[in-house]
Amino acid sequence: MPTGFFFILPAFLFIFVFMLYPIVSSGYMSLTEYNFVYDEAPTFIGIDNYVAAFQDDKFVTALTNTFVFGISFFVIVMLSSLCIALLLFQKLRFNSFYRSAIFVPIVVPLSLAALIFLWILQPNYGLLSHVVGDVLGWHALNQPWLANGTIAMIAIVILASWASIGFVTILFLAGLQGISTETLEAAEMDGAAGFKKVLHIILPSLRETYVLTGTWTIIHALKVFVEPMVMTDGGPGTSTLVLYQQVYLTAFTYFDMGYASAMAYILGAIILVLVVVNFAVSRIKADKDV
Amino acid sequence: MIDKFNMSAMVDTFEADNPGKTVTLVEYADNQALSNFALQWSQGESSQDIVVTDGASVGVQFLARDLIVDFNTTDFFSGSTAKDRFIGETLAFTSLGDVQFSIPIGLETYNINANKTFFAEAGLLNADGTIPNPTDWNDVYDMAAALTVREGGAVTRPGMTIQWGPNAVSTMIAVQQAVSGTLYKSDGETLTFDTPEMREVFEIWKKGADEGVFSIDTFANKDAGRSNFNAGNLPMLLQSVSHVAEATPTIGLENGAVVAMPGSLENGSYGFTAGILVPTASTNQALALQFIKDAMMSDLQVGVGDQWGKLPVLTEHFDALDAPWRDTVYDLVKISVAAPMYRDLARIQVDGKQMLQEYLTGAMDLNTFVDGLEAMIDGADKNPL
Amino acid sequence: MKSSPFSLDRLNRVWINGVLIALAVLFLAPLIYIFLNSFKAADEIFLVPQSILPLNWTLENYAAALSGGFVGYFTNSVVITVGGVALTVILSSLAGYGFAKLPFRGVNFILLVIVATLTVPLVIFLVPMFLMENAVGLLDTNLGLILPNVAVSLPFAILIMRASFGAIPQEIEESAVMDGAGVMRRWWTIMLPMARNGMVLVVIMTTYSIWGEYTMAKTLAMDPGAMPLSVGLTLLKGEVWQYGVLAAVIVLAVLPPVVIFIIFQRHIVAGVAQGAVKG
Repeated sequence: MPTGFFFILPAFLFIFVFMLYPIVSSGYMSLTEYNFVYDEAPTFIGIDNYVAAFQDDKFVTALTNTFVFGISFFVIVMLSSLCIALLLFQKLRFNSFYRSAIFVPIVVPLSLAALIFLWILQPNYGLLSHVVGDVLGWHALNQPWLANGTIAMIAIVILASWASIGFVTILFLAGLQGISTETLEAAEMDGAAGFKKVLHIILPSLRETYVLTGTWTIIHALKVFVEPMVMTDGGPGTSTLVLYQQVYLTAFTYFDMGYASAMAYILGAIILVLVVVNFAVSRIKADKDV
Repeated sequence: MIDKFNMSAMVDTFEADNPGKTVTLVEYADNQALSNFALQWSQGESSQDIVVTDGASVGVQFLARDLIVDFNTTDFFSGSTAKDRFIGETLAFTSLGDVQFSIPIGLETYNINANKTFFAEAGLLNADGTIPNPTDWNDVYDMAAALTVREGGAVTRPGMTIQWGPNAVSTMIAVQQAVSGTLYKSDGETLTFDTPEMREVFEIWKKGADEGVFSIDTFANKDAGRSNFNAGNLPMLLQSVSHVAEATPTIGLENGAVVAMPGSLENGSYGFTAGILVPTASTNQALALQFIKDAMMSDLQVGVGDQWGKLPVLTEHFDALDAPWRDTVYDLVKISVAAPMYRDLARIQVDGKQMLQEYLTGAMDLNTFVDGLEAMIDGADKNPL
Repeated sequence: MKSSPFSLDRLNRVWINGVLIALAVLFLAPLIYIFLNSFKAADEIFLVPQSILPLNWTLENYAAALSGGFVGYFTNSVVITVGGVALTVILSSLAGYGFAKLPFRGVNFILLVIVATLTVPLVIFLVPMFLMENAVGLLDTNLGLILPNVAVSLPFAILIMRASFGAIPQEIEESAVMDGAGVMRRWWTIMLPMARNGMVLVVIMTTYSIWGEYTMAKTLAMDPGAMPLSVGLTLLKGEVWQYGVLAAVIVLAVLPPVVIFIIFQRHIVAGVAQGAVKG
């Protein structure tokens, strides 16, 4: 056995023992019809659940909404975090205050953060209505914010970004700190400065960081759940219904474990493909640059 | 729920009367916990001897695999808790055929909670100081419109909030029963909302929602109407009328009123209760039954009714209530009907809510909406188990 | 800290400070709003137009929030978080080193399998996890939440540690091999200190995810005696959130990690910077 294997073994065993049984068990369930409150045992039905998913309007709506959320979230979080990290990477007098302010949302449990935003968005006594109406005087704009599908989706994207940008910024900062002084000095001697230096030297040196931040952001983008669950319950109508929520509903409100597992596996497969693509893209760049 | 049913007092009384016995109260976060309990029960063990569910009908599913006790096979219905001591059709809310799968506790019905202060301001009160009963939904709309406050073009206080959130289908059932006198098609078992009366209501709802007369803040926050009503900021709320009692500390006893929505005095509305279950896997069933009978069905229910509007299920305790809205509510409660016990009721509730919200926000027209509802109900599994 | 990569003129400095101040305000505003509202009485919260500062400061919301088993939930959260973070850091430091510095055939496949466990929605695992913990008696215990939390945190922690070991130049390891250091000693005395920035990141990420974890806790801890804050606090809701109490609850749940974060802020930044110091 190679030495490396023994270093990996403890962690692998841990994941294996704790996740393998659930994964295998729910993988099998996705091929069955199984209502865990009504049925004694699962009935094997092959890939019917997977076929049914793509003919199910709710699934398609939820998948579409998940992508609308996911793409907005990914773009916003990756770009803002990178920019904020570049700004924070300066010697500034109030740097530690800025960092604290931007990192603090990380420690707010998401379920509570969603309640905070729900409150802020309440008509009349919420903060947003107060600012728009009483402070800015635009009373006519005031409305039950989350009862509008587009605004509700935007609100969810904002909440999720608020909660996530801090952590991704930390990852980018760590990446920036990892760029060697020699690289930067060499660039300086070549006359590269300011924006040009960022573009040609710094951004390409963050490849390993893109693997990390990209993976993290893709997973959080498509596994969004708590935010719409707490803030909108998927509404109004189905305008913020996301796939994870539909899986949860199917599993724990309809008790339809078979179908819920199949939908979960489809979501898992999509995420895995995107994570691998992100990995590969960062690697290709690496080969090109070296 | 522990607070609302004053369960600590139930436990104290019971423990004092039965030395050596202890009762431990454990609160669970939401209905997902019930599926965990059921998983454990199906393994033949139970950490609970009694489970109280919010909405008694969620208990029925556990009959499928005999996970809960049928009270008709026990000696529960005798003495102080004989069946004829329960109000109206209360026991029917928690029975299926000849199986009594759960004991009701805390009777509630959907109707209009009203705050008289606003009606007085708008000059809408009768000469005797009561609120006039609306005769049809146009009347409801007119009242709500007169109570709506606008500032700079935006509604700052809606005239009425109708529960259009997660419990939207309960609201639809309540109104359907009130305006048409039945929930079902001619077969007597298929739920329908496709009646001329209900279509008219849907149109009035849409108009009110568009104009801000009926608020739509319950879409995202199911407690929005309740919070506003309890804070004394809302004239009318169509939801469980328990909120009149709940709001008393802020709006005052004399200002809370129950207004019968059109048709509900003759046809009733939607009624429901919390439910008490005993898992078959419990090893203390006799003691559990004794606790339900002696403590949970005791006169402690009177205080719960006064404070929270969750009404006593036994006539004797109901009569002991002392609140101005008692008689109105009693007339409404005794003719209220339960939701159909369909296996797919949860799906109907979720899908129905989504469709109603899409209709009210203009994403689909009335015909598409009603046809969609009917098709969805047709496709649902309507067997109880 | 090393010198900044940019040379900034005064104008840029003003501009950058302006943007960062605006961002800081945006990020802090929701929390400050909640903090101030936690001192308002119920009727004041519904006041329109509202006053941002409480008109009458009151502690009643905190009294209500603290009345319901707060200390027990808090202790559980601390035990679960500390235990979970410690295990995750140790296991991911071992595995990350293995992946980055001791590659063998099939290592990438194992990495892919590990990452794949992250992609499937966790809710699907709840029923099997529940049955498994029920079978071995782990339900309603702190350990019963530590173990699955570690399993869920490990994959991404391993990615982080793999990246930070990977950033350490090969020559350092080679010179240690020439000195005759065994692999365990190299890991412990040379590599681990140099991967400190990764460990700091793992600590931050895991603390945050375990402290706020809700889905598994709700399923696997049904007894209030075993509940962490994230779940226990929801029991304070009753039938409807009293907004003032909710605000107090949020402040109480968020304050401990915020204080820890601010106290260690320097160390966190310094820790992240450590990795940049080249041999």
